[in-house]
Amino acid sequence: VGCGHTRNSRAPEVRSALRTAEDGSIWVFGVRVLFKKPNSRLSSSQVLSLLSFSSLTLLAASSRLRNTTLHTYLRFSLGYISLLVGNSKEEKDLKMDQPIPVILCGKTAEIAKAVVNGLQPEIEGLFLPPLLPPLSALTENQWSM
Amino acid sequence: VVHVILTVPSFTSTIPSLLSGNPPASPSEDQIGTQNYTRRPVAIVTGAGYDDAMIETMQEECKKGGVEDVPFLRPDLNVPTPPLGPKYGAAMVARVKACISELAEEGRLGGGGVWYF
Repeated sequence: VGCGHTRNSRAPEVRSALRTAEDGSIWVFGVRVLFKKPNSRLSSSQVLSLLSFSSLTLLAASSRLRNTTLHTYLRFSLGYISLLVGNSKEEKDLKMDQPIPVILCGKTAEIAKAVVNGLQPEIEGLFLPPLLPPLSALTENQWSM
Repeated sequence: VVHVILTVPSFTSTIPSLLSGNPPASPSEDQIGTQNYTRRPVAIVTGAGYDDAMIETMQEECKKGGVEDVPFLRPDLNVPTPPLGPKYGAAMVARVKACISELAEEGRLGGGGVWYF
């Protein structure tokens, strides 16, 4: 079970991990976080959650939990992290409908207009789908440790 | 951006109603901004033309109105910026977005204080 972080979802190490996973010998649970802005970053609480997810996943795998228990845990964890960093479509829609209201104090109307236009609401590129495999597609045999 | 203010006196006259969740008595200057006052503003972004004294005055006005939980976002003058013009606006937008996103992610938008972008 692996957990990685990359700014580029097409990074060679990710493709390599996916190829390894496809042969059935290793399952890779990737967490992909895409940023629209180069200076975006995860907050400390989000990083802690991701680290907890990866370490608990390793623990769950090594402790040979019952298939259904591990399956339920992973589903819950991925859903929780998705919610945490705004993965769900509903949350993205919410962000579009409810942009952060701010007051702008400037000196010139021209620059203020440019800033206002530039600050139009948009979806910040934070989402993290599991790379492989879709949990719902797994059979009971595939969860055997 | 729901409202734009271009002078400190204008700020003084409009900020109490804005931060109490009500529309201002006078419209936003030059009608810039969404004018959507259904939600209370959670941050005040200032340009480089607002110095320390102006910010302090504006903070005092907020306190007088019983509002101390709105953060002020100020440009970091140590960060190089393009000359005034389209590129200046774009550079400021990028920095403001990054700052607001960070404050929002860390739950600091309702915490007051002065933050530099």
